[in-house]
Amino acid sequence: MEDHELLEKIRNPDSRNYGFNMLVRTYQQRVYWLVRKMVIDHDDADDLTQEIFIKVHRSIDSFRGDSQLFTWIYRIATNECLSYLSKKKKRFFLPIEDVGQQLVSKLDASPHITGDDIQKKLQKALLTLPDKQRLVFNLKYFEEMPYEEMAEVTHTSVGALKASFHHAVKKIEEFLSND
Amino acid sequence: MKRLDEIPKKNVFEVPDGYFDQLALKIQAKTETISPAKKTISGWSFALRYALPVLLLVIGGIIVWKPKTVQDTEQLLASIPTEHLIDYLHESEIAEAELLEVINFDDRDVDSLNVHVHTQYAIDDLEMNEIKSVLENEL
Repeated sequence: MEDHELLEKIRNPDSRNYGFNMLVRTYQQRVYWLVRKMVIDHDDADDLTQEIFIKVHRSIDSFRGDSQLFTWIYRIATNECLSYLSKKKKRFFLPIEDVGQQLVSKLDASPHITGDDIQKKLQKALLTLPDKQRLVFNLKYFEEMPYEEMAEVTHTSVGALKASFHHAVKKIEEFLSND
Repeated sequence: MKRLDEIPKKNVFEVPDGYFDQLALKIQAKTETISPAKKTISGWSFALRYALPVLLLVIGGIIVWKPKTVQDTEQLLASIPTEHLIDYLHESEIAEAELLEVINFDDRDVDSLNVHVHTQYAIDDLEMNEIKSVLENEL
């Protein structure tokens, strides 16, 4: 179902629930995987994905179609992820390194993580990056999102995103070489 | 240095079987119990958003239209011959009191009216004998 059809159904009170359910089924996997790569833990990603879609449900009437529906949903998702990680650090008064270490522990212990050593090593390298830079890397490297769309999602200029991504790649390659 | 493009791109994360079917149902259950965010508008917010612009429009309308209406009326009346106006006032059933309430008198009108009224009252107050004696003396 196309975005405009989804929106028509959501805006019609008679088909609102059906339309929103279709929206969730259309975008839940992409949102979940974005969140999962940021918070690592499945349970955290599960909670956060639900919160994101509840937020989407609450504010869907304010969506005016200035951007693509998915870009708008992704913007909410990225904000929620960064906000969640920031709150986590503040709540436990943890330095950035300790939060990163916590996530590395989850990476090692979680039953829902596969891949060979080099894949896990890449994930650990990613956890050394600041959250926003990790988000930019994930969007570009895993999602293969164009910079222009990333700029809309993150409210950051294309130039800054390119610089952030290339800097992230350099740091990751250094980590992979040294570790 | 190990290059990133030498590493196969792979998603290392997994989810339990049937997770996404359950996720959609969990979200559905939560969203169907809540209504969409309603914009709660406080009294002041309502006043500022709706009542104030309406009030300003009304005030603006009064300022723009009222003087023009009065001016138009005065211009219209000025174009009608005085005799016709007098005839109309005689034939109409408008009471003097009503006319007096409507008319805005300036100082000159009031003085003129005083002279007229006082002269009339003075004549009414004179006795016929007194008038005769005055006329005789004058003649």
